[in-house]
Amino acid sequence: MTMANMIFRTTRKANSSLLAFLLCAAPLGFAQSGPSAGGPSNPQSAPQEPPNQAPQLAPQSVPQDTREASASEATGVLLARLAQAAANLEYRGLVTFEHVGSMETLEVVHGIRNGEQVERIRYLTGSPREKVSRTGGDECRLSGSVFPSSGLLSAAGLQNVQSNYAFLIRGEERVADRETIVLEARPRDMHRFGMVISVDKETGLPLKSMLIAPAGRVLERFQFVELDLKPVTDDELKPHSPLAQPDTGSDAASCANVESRWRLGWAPSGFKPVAVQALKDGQMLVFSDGLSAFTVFVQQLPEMNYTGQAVRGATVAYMDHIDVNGARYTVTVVGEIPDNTAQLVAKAITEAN
Amino acid sequence: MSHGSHQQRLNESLSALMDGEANELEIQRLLKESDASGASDGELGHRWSRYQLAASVMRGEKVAPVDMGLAASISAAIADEPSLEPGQQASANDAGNDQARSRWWRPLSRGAVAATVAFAAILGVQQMQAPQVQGDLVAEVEAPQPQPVTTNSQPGRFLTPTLNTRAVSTAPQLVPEKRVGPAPQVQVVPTPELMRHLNRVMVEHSEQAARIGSQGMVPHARATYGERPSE
Repeated sequence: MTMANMIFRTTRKANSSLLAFLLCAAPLGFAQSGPSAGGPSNPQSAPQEPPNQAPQLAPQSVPQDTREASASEATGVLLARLAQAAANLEYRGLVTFEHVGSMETLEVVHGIRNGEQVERIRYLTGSPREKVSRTGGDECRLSGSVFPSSGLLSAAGLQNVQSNYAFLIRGEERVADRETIVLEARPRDMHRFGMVISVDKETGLPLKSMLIAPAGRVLERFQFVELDLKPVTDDELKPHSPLAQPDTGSDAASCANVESRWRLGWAPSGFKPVAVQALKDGQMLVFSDGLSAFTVFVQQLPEMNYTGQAVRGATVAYMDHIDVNGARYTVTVVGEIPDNTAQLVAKAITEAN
Repeated sequence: MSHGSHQQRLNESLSALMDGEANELEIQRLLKESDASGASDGELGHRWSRYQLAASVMRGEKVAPVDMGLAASISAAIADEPSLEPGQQASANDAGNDQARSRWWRPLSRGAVAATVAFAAILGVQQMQAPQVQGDLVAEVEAPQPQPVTTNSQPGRFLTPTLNTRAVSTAPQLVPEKRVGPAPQVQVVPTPELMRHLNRVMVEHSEQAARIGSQGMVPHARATYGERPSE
């Protein structure tokens, strides 16, 4: 290998190369004390399956394709249960929420009131933040949307999801003192992130979910520490701090009969428009592939000339602008999608005819 | 002749190690070679440090010249160190004892070398993941995105970033455009309007994602994550 080639490859993966190196080097140094299962005793398989694999994922010896085939039915059921659980269960719990290098803890309460999901989330670390939100009203949904209520509930939605992700059962693990099945959603192209979800065996509730970038980098991890499935009282759904933000939607005007003024000349395959909302200064278009979502904002914002990207946690925002009939519109693409994809989407927005 | 091809193989192994792609055989080979030639003053050691230096420069990191002499003098100091339990059995059958001792020490010292390397790697990773704070702005030290991996070739393990205990700003962070090489990066000072806009669109997006409902409570957590928009 030439020097130039080496350098190029190195810079591309600088972040992961040292870690990967560590994973390779560690078992060697401690060969005597290391675990023997699939370990350094077998040099052929060692680089593929180092013994210090993430502990929550039990090493699987079953070949890949058989796993995928046998899992497809099971995952279908699992996905449906996942969607059902969120819509029908009441619970409260403590959660850790991590992204690139930082961790916060939060309290979550989830209740069902008049068919709506009411969610109260309060951060227990950092600056005090709390929010009560209601979801389940379908008022802003596009008619004939691919994802009528929840993407995973309908057969069509499920099929769409499975054409964008390969689902694998990765084993079992215990989360918040409960047994779960670990489900991995592996993206079939580079325009979306993968997810690993630990689904509670008893209720179907997702007790842990990780957002995975290429090369297995974990961008975000949401994990229950404690879960209580007793019915939730009205008091528990009321904000506990005076700072609590009201349920927003404040910006969104009435969303009845909103016609999108804009359309995407290109969208990553599988992403379909699921909602359009009018904002006081523009429009907001929501796209989803059934699991991931991104939102395109087209607004008239004077003196907003930034072009480029911003990140917070796993969420990326790419800003750009377009000029239509002499007026300048700010385009912002926001989502948990790769930054390159966000940029491509932002460049692809045009006025609908 | 055979020496040349051996050297070439070593170099290939070394560059694979740089990329984290070295297999166990290659690592064995490198450790053996570095053992034989003395890790610090051998050709291999110099090459490794040059590679690291070059990679650092490519990443645009600040680099300090590496003093290979330091490692050499540490090695020398260790070599001069009297071995443990001196004098006790020194008088009786020296030769056999010495031999036994050195046989006993050798694997241990080799393990120590590996442990040192692993420790250095941990330090390196932590340094790379700690963002540099410049006022309110955090420049991402992250390397350019790895090439997309096709569907089924993703690794079976996940690399969880090391946690850092420092309080992190919850404001959105601007990411300078990615450039190849150490070109100076233009820092954009975000205006309050820009920050407000970014915060608002991120919250709105998360609320929309919550309505889609396929990610459970996570979008709610994201929506609440940002600081309250200052009115």
